[in-house]
Amino acid sequence: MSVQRLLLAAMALCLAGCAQFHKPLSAENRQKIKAVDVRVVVAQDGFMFSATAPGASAAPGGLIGVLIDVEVQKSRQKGMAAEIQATVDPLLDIDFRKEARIALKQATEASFPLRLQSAEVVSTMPVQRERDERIAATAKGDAYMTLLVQYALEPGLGAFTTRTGINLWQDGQAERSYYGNAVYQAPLPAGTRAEVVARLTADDGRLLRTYMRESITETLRMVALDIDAQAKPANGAAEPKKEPFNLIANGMKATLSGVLVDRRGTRTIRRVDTVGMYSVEQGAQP
Amino acid sequence: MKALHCLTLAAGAALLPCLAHAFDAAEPLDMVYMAPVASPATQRPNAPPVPDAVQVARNCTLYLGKIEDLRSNPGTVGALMFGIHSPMYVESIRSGDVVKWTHQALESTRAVGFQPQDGAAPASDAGNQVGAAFGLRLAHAWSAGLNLVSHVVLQASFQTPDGPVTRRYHGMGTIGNWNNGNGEYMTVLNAAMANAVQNFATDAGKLCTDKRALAPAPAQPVASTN
Repeated sequence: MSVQRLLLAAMALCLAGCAQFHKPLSAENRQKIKAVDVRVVVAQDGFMFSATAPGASAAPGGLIGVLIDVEVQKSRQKGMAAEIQATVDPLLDIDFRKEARIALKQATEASFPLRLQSAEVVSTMPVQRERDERIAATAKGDAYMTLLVQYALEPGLGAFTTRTGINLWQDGQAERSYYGNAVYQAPLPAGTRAEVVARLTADDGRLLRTYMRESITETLRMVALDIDAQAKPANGAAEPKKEPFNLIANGMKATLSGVLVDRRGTRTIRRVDTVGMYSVEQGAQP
Repeated sequence: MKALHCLTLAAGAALLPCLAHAFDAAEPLDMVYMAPVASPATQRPNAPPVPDAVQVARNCTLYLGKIEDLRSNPGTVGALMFGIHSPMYVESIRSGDVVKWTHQALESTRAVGFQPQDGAAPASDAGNQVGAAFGLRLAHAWSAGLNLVSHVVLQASFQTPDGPVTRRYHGMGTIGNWNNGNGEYMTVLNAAMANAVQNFATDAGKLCTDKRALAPAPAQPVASTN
C-alpha cells in the first residue's frame, strides 16, 4: 500500500504544479539517526534505449492516442534498431554494478554525514513485503536509505547521465523523513556514434566505467551535501543566488536554475529548489 | 509552456497508481514462449492475403546444442522505473527458467522451414543441416511512457567446417502498456525474442545451403531486418 501512497503523492504533487520532489532532512530527524543502512539499487542490465523522439514527453491523450503512440514507437524502433544494437552490443560485457560497488566502498571509508552501519549495491529490488519489514524495523534499529540508480546514454550520445532517487526512512515511520533527486551528467567525447561508442568501450570499457564510478561518487557527495546543508539551522542570511546551468535531458538541451553548492575543478554541484542536486561540468555546458 | 509540461507529467503520474497495482514483483514471469500474433492491421478486408512467415530454409535440420544463461543478473528480466527527475519507484521483474524459454523460441523456427532437434550436429559439413550452441546474453523489459519495451540478445555459435562462428542476434519489442500486468511483460519479452530468433534463422538458413556463408569473425551485432 505504501507504494500506492507514494505514487498517489507524486500525482498530487504534479497536479499541484510540479511543486515538490525534494524533502529536506530536518535537524530534529537527523539528530535521531544513530546509523543508517544504505542500499544502492542498480536494477538495469543494459542501457534502456527507447525509440522516443528527442524532446517528446508524452503521447497524445485518449485511446486513439495510445494506439498511435504504440505504432509510432514500433516504427521508430525498427528505424533505430541498427543504431541501438550497434551501441548496446559492445557494452554487453560491462558490469553495471561493479563500479558502483567500488565507489560505495570508497565512500564508506571516507566521510559521510550519517554513520553507515552497512552499505551494499544490489541488483534486485526487494519485494514490497521485505521493504515494508525493513522500514518497520527502523523503529528499533538503524535508519534505511535507498538510492535508486538509473544509468543513461542520452539519445544522440551527447552525454552520460546517472539519475538517482534517494529515500530515507527512520523511526518506524512509513512516511519518508528525506527524499530527493541526484543527477550526474558528463559530456561524451565528440564524434560519430561509432567513434563515441568505440571510445566508451575501448580497453574493457575503461571510459564508460570511469563515468559510472564517478557518477556514484558524485551522487553520494550530493546526498552528503544535501543532508549537511539542510541540517544546519537557518542563520538569517540572504537568499542564496541562483544561476542558470545547462544539461541534456532526453537528447535536448535544458536550462535549469540552481544555487552553487560545491565546485571541484570544472565540476559543479547545484541545488535546484523542490527537485534536488545536480552535478554537471561547468566548463562543458551544452 | 511550463504549465503544459506539468500537465503532461501529471497525466503520466496519474497513471502510476493504477500501473503499480497490476504488476506483482513477487511473482516471477512464467517464461513461456509464445510467438507474437500478427497485428490484424496487416490483413485488410478485400486485400490480397498476407503470406505466412517467410521460409528461410527447406526442411533443414537445426541441431540445438547447449543453451546457456549468460546474463549478468540471472534473477531478473528487467525493471519498472517510475519517476519524473529520477527513479523514485523501482520494481525488479523476476524471471523463471530462461533456458527453457530460449529452447521454446528456437523450436519456433519450425514455422520458417527448420526441423529443430536437440543435440550437436553429427557432421558440420553435411548438407541441409545446421548446428549451433546458444547463450542468452540479455533479456530486459522496461516501461517507457505508455509503452513497454524489451531487448533480447541471443548468441549463437555455429558449427562450420572452418570451426565455430559466433554471432549475436538482437531483438526488440514494443507493446502498449494497458494494465502493467506480469503477462504484458512476458508478451513484450516474447516479441523481442521472436525478433532475435528471426534474425538468427536468416543466418542459419544460409548455412543450410552454404556451410561457409558466415565468415569466421568476432561477434558482431546483426541488424534487425524486419
